[in-house]
Amino acid sequence: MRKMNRKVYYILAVVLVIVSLFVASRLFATNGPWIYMGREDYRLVPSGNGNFVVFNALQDIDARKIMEARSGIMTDSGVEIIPEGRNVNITFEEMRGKIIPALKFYEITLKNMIVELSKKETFEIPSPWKNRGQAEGKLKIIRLDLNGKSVLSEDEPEFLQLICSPDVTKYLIWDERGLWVLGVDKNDLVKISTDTYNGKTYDELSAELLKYFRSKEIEGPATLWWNDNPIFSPDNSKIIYETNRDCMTGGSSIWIYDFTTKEEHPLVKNESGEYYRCDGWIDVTHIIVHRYYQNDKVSYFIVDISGHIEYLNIEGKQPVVLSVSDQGLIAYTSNYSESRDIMVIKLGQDNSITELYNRTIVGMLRTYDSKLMSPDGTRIAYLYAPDKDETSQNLVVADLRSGKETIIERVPTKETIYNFSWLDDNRLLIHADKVTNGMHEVSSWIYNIEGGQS
Amino acid sequence: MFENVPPATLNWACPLSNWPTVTSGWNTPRGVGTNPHRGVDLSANYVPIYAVWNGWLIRVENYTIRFQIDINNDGIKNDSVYYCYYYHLSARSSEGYYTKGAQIGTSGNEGGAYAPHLHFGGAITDSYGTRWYRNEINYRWISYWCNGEDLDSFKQVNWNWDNGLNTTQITIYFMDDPYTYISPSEVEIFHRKAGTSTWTDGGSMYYKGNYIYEYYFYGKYPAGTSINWLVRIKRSGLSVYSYCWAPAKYDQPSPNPNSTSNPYAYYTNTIQ
Repeated sequence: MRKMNRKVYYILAVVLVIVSLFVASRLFATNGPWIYMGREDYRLVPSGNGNFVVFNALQDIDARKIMEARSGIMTDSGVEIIPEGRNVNITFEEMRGKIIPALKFYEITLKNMIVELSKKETFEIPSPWKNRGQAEGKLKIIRLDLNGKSVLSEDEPEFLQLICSPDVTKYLIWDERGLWVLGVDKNDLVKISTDTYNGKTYDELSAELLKYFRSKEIEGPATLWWNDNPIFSPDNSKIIYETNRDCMTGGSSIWIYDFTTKEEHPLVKNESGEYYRCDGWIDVTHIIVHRYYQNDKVSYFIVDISGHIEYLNIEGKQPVVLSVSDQGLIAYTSNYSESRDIMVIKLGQDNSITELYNRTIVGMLRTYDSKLMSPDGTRIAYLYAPDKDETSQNLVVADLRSGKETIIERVPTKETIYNFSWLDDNRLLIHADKVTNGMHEVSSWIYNIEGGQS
Repeated sequence: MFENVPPATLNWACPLSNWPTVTSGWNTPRGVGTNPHRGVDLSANYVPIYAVWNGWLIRVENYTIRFQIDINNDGIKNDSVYYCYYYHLSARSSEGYYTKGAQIGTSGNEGGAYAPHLHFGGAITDSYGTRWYRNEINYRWISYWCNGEDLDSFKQVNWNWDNGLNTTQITIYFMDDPYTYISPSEVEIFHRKAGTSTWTDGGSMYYKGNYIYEYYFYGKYPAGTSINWLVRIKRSGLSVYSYCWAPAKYDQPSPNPNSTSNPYAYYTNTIQ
């Protein structure tokens, strides 16, 4: 009997070793360009200059635990069970590390390692976003030490409201009422937007806009955007944004703020109630904007920082710009409501257009918040849902110089690709998704386009 | 017309980036449009809109998306009947399956005389006269939007019997334009013994501050009695349709729960 047991243990041990080696080989050793980072939703914190900081974002199961801690339990039949004496005032700070994994920040090194970063400092700044019953909102900021350099994040980075300058020296916070800047080595927020326009405050102009809308029987909110969609210039010296404080009969315009002169002025003025939106900077002196009239097609324009406007002829039934890079690259689809093609064009100094990439897709594009072009502008990556399986997503990585393409259908563990971000010119941070008990479970991977794991 | 509790699709993603201002909550009495408000209005210029959960984009009319929620994320279309609507869009993506967080269109001010905003919300059927769910529950997991409470005219409800007073608490406020909290002008409770048909007007609920209203059932019913209760909420400044109810049930409701043949929704608790 004892001999028999020993034999069974021996066989089990051998099987265990084989299975472990198999799993390890799938995850680490023989996956060529792939590095498995673990079953974590590692998301990027803006850090720039070749440094990549990530944090462990909430998984769906964590969100469910938060919801249940704050209130009742939702059953599958949709019934909410309200426990006695529930505590609805639990904060994230109280929950992180207790009922959900503690918030941690990591550096992704050039050798594809993840190294936990220490929190150098935590401080609070006044927040434009107030909660009910609060006289003043507070935003908790975490300062991280990244190889001697400071990087800021929020203590709820899933909902990051900070916009980082390309050189990581300052951060913007904005809402409808204004625009504030936070220096990376400072602990105070400085408002850079004005308090009045033509002698009128935000509340006065809001009331004026509301009065106009109601006089014209226009339904919906009369939202006044003092600054909306601010975008840093590639040289960090300026920001552009939309506003409607100068459009009291509807529409919006585009303004520019110069950090050197600390002054703002309109760049694209509103003429007849049209709406403008900025897509991004194509170099240090030019932006691309689009204009929209109600019930009309979108038109695109190139605008220089002196306010000179030129029409940009993007061909197609319903062309929509998907991504812009400051090397003068524009990725677009010719018919947004179909999204079955993708093109990349390069704008020359004289605004001439050179087509770099043109593909018809056997499926439909899927876009997220991520930028499509690599930081050096030599590659594009994008996702599409193939016609043969609309619930999956294929990732295409294309070299804009050679036209060479790689189509990735799944990560090595056969899970579906969820979304991606560029880490640098050669590496992508890829999220894969597995559904467990009806909930997403995200894992993170690094994909090295050059093939090696360096 | 309204349904109090949505299916268990919990942590919805934000339909817009940056958790924008809620300008009109679900079930809010208001001076324009449907009353009380079906769905939620969010401050939005011409900005991308996103899938709040995995599901299928189905286009309706010219400026509306009906997004069928894949409740259990299994990619099978007909095993769930739950939708999220997005209105007034300036652009819509192609029909098909989208994962949570994918862009599915661009907001705007289309479909009539509207200021730019996104109207969105969960609903149980795919027709215009659908039943709209409250979506506060889908955002309790975040701190923005006051843990989802800004999305709703009435918020989370508590029942506490172990204080000896058999207390109900309800949080109520309206969102105004621009972004202001408004207290209701009247919060009145109605109750009855379970199984009976006539509602008793319990009078105004006691205001505790911070938009919380309270009512003691102590002495109203013997211990062990199962009771039904509901709350009538009035918004000042409106000449018609100024009422809504918690829990919510009907569009343009009557202020008197005894005057209609329509059964009202209600909460049930047992006096201890």
